[in-house]
Parts: sequence; structure tokens; C-alpha cells
Amino acid sequence: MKTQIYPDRHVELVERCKLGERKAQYELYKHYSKAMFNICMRILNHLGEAEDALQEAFVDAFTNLHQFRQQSTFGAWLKQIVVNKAINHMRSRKVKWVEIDEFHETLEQSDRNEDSFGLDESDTTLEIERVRNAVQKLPDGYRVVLSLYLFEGYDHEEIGEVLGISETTSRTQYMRAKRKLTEMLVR
Amino acid sequence: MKNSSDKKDRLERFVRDNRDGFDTFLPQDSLWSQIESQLHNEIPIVPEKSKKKIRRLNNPYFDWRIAAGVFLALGIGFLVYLNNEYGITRDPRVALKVPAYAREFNQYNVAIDQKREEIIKLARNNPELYKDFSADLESLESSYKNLRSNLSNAPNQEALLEAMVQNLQLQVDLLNQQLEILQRINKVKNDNDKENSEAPVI
Repeated sequence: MKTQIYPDRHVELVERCKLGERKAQYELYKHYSKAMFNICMRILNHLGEAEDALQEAFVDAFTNLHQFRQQSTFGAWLKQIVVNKAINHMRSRKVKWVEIDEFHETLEQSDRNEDSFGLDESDTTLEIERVRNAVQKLPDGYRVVLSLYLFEGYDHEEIGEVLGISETTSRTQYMRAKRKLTEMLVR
Repeated sequence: MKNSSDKKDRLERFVRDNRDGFDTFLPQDSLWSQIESQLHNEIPIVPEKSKKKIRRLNNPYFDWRIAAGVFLALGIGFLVYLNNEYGITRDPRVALKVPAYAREFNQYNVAIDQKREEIIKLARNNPELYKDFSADLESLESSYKNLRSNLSNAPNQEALLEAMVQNLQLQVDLLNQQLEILQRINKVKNDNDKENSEAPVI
């Protein structure tokens, strides 16, 4: 939301960064580091690795800033770099996608599950915490697909592209991840 | 990105409505200083890379730009030589239509031009004689032009070409004779001058 309030200020900041102004770089970092760090955390689920990925992403972004042509917002451009860096870190860990055969539930069951878990919206903070913790407990492959779709607003085509999987795989992975998550929340 | 008409379940709606609440982690304060130090290191790396690229282009033993320049100079030189030998720009119609004869024609033309220049020089103080000379030559030249204009539709090209060569030969002969006459006149004049200039001494 903050990005939309000062769009012009960021254009100016980016231009100053292109000239190598350290202070402008710091201001952009200050503005985006928290959101970008949480993206890394959701994908990697590891503080140290998330910090490494974030560091690499910012260094990359600032050294390749001349390639940013203001066609999108700086935030969107940076986010792309961050997501790619985090996924590269993830790859070096060798994620194993959960095999299809491991799940035998029918879709009916999951449909029933999806709307039945108790989200107590009267205490939102507590619920956020519960959902967040549950997401962290998901297996790596599930967590990445679910995070990209649910939190970063990627569609399945984009997820497939960024992870090098098919759109259908992304879709089924997401369905299963969500099913697993709701199961954990019901408990 | 996502189609808003997608059926959203409670979880998706919940996350969307509370998106900011999920960003709970904060990177360490020291992370910026690490990024900053890497940015310091990174800056000299970039020019090094570009230097390498430039050096690859600037191979001391081979340079495309010099090679291209030499090639261009050789090509132009060759074209100039061809043009001088075959008179392509001097008489493009003949050169392109009968390239086998182009060289011969060109040699005649070069000789004719040289002799004419000489005659102009020698006849500078004799304009009336020069007028007569050039009138003689003009008739030959006009007949040559006539022959040349028939070159494309002549039934017997060989005969026509021979006639052209003959015409050029006649021009050269005529010019040679004119030169001789001029030289003789000049010699007589010189002798007279000498006599005149020597006479007062004696």
C-alpha cells in the first residue's frame, strides 16, 4: 500500500540509485526490505537462507538497476528478483515435489474441508498467527506453490514458469497444499 | 494477475484481507551494511568485465576495423584500375555492351585525349589552325558516335566493331599528322626566332 502512496518519489529515488547514490539505495532498501524478507521467509522458511537470498537480491537489483526501464513499478521488478533468488536457494536444497500417489482423498472430501475449518475472525491477530504457523509447517514444495499463489498473487501459469513445472502441476500442488493446510487448521 | 472472478474460499479471502498482518519477520539490521559492502566490491567488477570485452575486440594481432579498411582500399583500388583500363565511366555503353573490346577502345581513347591535349598546347598561338584541325577531327568523331549508337541493333556486330576500331585508328593517325605539322611549324618559328635574336649580336 505504501508503494502506491508515493509512486513519484520512488521514480526519483530509483533515478538517484542509478547514479549510484548510496543514500537513495538505503531508502529503497528500508522501504522494501521487510516485505521482500517475508517473501523469502515464506519460500525458504529459514532465517539465515532468507537473509542470504534477500542480500543477493538487493545487491543484484542495485547493480543491474540500469536494466530497469520503469515499465513496471520498482517494487514489482524487485519482487521478481527476490522470488527468483529465493527459489534458486530452494533449488540448491533440492525440493522434492510431493508425489501424486501419496494422496488418496477425493475432491469431495477436500471441498467439505475447505469451508469447514474454523477461522475465528473475532481474533484476527491470533488467526493470522495460526495460519502463518501452519503454512510454515507445510512441506517445502507445497509451501512454495501456496505462498506464491496465496500471498504473492501469482497465477498458476506464472508459478509454473518460475518453478519450471507445468501449470497443471502447480494447480494440483496448490489444491493439495491448501487441503493439507486446512486439515492442520481444523485440528 | 489472478482472476478476481475465481471462486475464493474463506482461506483466500482471509489472507487477502489480512495480507499485511502476515509480514511479521524483519531482517537483521546488519543486513544493509553487508549489502552496502558488497555493492562497494561489486562496482569495480563491472568495469573489469567491460574491459575484457573491449580487449577481445582490440586483439593486437587482428582488428576487424583495420581489416575492413584494408579490404575497402584494395577494392576501391581494383575498381579504379579496372576503370582506367576499360574506360567504364568514360564510355559505359561500349564497356558494358562489348567488354571484350572495351580495353582496346579505351587505349585508343586515352591516346586520342593525350594527343589532343598536346595539340591544344602547341596550337595555343595559332587558333585558326586549331579550328581547322578540330573541324577535321569532329567529322571523324561524329561518325564514330554514329557507329556507336548503332552498336545495339547492328546485324553484324563484328563488322561494326571493326569499323569503330578503324575510325579510332584514323583519329589517332590524323592527330599524329596534326602534331607533326604543329611541331614543324613551331620548329620553323623557333629557327626564325633564333635567327632574329642572333642577328643583332652578329
